[in-house]
Amino acid sequence: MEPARDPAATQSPAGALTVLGFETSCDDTAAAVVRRDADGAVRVLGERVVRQDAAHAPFGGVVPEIAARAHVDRLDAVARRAMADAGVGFGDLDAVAATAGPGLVGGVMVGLMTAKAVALAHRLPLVAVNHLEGHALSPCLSEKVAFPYLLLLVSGGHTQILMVRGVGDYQRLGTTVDDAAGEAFDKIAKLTGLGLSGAAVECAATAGDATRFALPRPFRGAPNPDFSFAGLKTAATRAYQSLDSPSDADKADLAASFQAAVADVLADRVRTALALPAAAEASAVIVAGGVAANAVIRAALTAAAEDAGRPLVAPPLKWCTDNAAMIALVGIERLRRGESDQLDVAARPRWPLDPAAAPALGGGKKGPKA
Amino acid sequence: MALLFLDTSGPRCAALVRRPGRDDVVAEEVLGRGHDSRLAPIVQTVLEQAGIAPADLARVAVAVGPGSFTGVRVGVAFARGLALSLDIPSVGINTLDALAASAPDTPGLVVAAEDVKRGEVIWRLFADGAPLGAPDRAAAADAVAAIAGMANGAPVSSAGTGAPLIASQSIMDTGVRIFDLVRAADLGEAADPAAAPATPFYARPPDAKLPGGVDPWA
Repeated sequence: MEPARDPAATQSPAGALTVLGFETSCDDTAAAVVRRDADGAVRVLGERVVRQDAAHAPFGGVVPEIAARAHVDRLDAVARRAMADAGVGFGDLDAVAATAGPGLVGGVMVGLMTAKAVALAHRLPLVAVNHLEGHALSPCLSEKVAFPYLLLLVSGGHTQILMVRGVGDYQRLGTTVDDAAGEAFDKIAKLTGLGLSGAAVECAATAGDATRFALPRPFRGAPNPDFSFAGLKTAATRAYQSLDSPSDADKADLAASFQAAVADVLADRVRTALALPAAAEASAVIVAGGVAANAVIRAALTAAAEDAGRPLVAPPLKWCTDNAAMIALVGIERLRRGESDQLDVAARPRWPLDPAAAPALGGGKKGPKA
Repeated sequence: MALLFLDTSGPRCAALVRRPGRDDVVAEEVLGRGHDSRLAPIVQTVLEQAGIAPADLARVAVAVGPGSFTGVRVGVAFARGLALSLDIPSVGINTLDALAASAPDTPGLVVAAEDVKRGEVIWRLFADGAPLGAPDRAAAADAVAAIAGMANGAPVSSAGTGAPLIASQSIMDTGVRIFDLVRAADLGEAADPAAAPATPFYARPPDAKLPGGVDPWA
């Protein structure tokens, strides 16, 4: 069943690998073509992303069925544009890669089925990619960082600290036991009417007093670098609801107080992780995910990393958030190791990157979520 | 040059290859779920059995529903991925049209109806293969009344999983529950890609409520 690679169809320069990647696991429909040259240099030849914010905004969160419908309507056109931008044809590809999980499975299937079709049509290897592995390797799209490194992934869907020892070698040091950090930011934005996403909280916080509301710092000082944001979210909600017709100044103070609490917790958890023997050899701290765009949080993380003698590296925002370039990159790295997947590979809504890590979230009979 | 027809709209996961002047080749499995896993291997099998390469395909047709939302997307994404990478047209075939084409030749009208749960069917009435109006989702009793009104006393035979729900004195259930792949491929061969895009046809809007429980599609 393994589709045989047809060497005659491959026209990458000698020793180079060119891979098309798809990302459809949440609300971004994305395709990218990435090439790794023989000397190891990685270039994104073309990438396109269509976001769905407007479609989900009225509902106050991503609606899986709406997301899946949008992905299937758009992905082929998005891929066509990414290929045109890259100036390559399907016959120039060495493999096709797609996110196969974890994520919203209806959307994941759209990207995975499109990738299978391309693989079958052109007898290319298929690489079914773990979305978290994409984030773990995303710094390699823009930075020269040496393995091993400590990765803090903070987005609307995930909050984890991983030791990235190499391609395919990940150790989860900590994870959230309830909400993701970005999810908590979004909740506060909606609660206060500041906006629909966490970015609105950062914007309002610039004018606020971060000491006005004494909010909790869940897990600060705990020996394991895990996270919890549900209690902080509830405390912020109660503080807001205790206000009599909140003014803009009240909202700004709450936003600033909440943001300071999240920044404190993230920095403390990174300090804790860096002090673990498992992280002793980390060359740098990499931060990825949409929350990494927050300047106050970035400053707190920079201080935490530098106190431990490590640089903080944040990839450009377009590769920090969900993107297809990181998925194509994982495809390249797996291909270099002679790894690819069969055409019967299934989408996986749950797929922990470190299978040895104990489940902290969604650890029911279906196993850990991520 | 060959046609590939795909159906993942219901429990069946099927692929058919049609080559000019030769017998059709079919591969199918009946699955509850897991079409995302089985479809590509089934397509690979049917192409091998037909002795053709993917590059020999001139067109890909796919059942676009009404049916399982997820199943339909699996088939449509795959069909569109083939069309994109082989630079060939894709067409979408409505499962109600395929069902009507699959009913036995009987005089009068044919109604294709799918059970869409919650006591509702989605139905479309046909005269000699031509549809009389667009697909409509309705409570079974309302569908029966609407069909009777349009039939105006003419006999009506029915096909599809919704047929038992609308069986009545004037609507005879033919017992056909699933469309015939060969008949559907005929439609796929004849369809105009501009008029019949490979776009899912959903029986219902997404199940999502606006804050305050407001139905955005009401």
